[in-house]
Amino acid sequence: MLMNKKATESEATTAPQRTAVNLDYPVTPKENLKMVFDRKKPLWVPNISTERGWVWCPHDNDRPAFGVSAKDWFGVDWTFVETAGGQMVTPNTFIMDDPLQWEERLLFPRFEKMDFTPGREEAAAKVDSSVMNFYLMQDGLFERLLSLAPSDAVFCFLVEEEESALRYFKTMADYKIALMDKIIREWAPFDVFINSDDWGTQISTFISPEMYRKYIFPQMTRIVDFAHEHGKYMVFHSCGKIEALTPQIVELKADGWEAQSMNDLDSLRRRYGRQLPIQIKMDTEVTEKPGVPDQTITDYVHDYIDRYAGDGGLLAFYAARDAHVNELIARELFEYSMERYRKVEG
Amino acid sequence: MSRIQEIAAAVEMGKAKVVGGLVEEALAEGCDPAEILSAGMIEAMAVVGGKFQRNEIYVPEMLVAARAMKKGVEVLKPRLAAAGATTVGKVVIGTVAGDLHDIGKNLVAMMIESAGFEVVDLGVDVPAGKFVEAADTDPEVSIVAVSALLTTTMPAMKETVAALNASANRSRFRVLVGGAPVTQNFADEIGADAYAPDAASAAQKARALCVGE
Repeated sequence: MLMNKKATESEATTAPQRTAVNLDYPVTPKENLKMVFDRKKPLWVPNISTERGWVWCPHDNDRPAFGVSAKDWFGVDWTFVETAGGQMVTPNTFIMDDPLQWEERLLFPRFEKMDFTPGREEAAAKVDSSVMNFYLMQDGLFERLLSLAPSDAVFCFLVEEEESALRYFKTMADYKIALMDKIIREWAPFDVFINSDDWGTQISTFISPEMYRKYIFPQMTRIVDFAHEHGKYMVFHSCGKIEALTPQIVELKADGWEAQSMNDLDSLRRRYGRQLPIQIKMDTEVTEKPGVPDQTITDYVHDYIDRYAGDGGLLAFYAARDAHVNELIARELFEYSMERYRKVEG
Repeated sequence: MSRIQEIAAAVEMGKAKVVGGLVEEALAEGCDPAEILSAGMIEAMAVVGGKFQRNEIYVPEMLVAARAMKKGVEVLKPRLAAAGATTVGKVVIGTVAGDLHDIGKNLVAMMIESAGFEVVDLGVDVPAGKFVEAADTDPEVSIVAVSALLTTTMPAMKETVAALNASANRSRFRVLVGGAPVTQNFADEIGADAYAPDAASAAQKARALCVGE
């Protein structure tokens, strides 16, 4: 059976620490990553694993803090699953049987009665201004709907209740924008929103691209535009094979996409270049292999850069349990990609 | 278009509200209940499964079709029982211990049911022993379908299949595995009888295991 870890209060409200590596940066990692988000050629391939900061707001209960099993503002009961490294709706606890009930049953938080400012100064003092700082919005419009009712009822709702579904997505986007506004105005400074919303399975998108275009993308346009109007970049995280949606993601002017390996990443990098920055995770079979030789890591990082770096638009990401491997990857990524981009025009 | 073809078309299009009525009309016209089930519904769902595999339709369209079929089966059930008709087989399904994911598992359950099986859903986070108990205590179980969505729960799938393989009644049932990180190689390695990459294939594999189709 599951062993659900209950995080302590301090664990739950503290942003994860990045494992920085001291490198001889010619500009700050923040300036370098900004070039990618501004669709320019960076000086080196930004290392998202070591050159990104996090800002978390403990007052934001759109989803309970990472590592915690608890209810969110809507009453959805989340269980932290250690093996998955994330939270899932506790089985058999959906707050509705049928999403069609959302207009009567769903109570939205009243932000005008909330104060997000306690602790702001302390959080702001911890922000490292040499890196881009990210704010994670965990429950995207689609995932939020799936958290409210059983999945079969949700999918049937999308086919059979178009008017109610359109109203749901519009209302949920209004709420998201109000939350973003609240965080920007009342919490510590940051640079990038991540909109996390899983749109795909291992083999395809959950719903048809047409359905995404009808329900979700008009509202995502509003959310992305709001972020941009307030000086924030917007990165999308979506698990699954969603390459069929990339033309629409580009249209939305998303500043990046955290992609998964089941997509045709070679072709996507060739097609979009700097237009859609893509975060590609290095192969954990290499980076997390116990006792992996340094030369194997070096060769792998060089291949990775040769394969994906192009003339910009690549965001590198990896997991390494070993501190030496972490530093080796960071150094090779920095030095080899600097050398490569020096030779690339533009 | 015959009444049975009308039923098939309604199932394919997911018209849950009309399928029950069409089945009643077909029965009143003297159609064979078993024929309505196989030609009107199971075959229609096989078409739906094929479209899903070719990305012509997606999860919602497949689900509404399965739900429409369910409405038809509700009307047919008493007549099938009276005629002594049985299901193709009984399938026990669940997601392995440590894994709470149920969307894929539910989809597979629905497609397998639509292929003419009775399904016993053990839910999510199911310990190996519970799979074994379900298969051991019911001689009608012909397939145990085991799902895992996480690479981190693949060892639990391995453990589950090993426990099932050690069952004294192992010759009575087959083991079908699937889920995002699972591959044919992994299925072979852990000793499963079959692997399915998606819900439609799972229904096809289940029929192949039971009736050799």
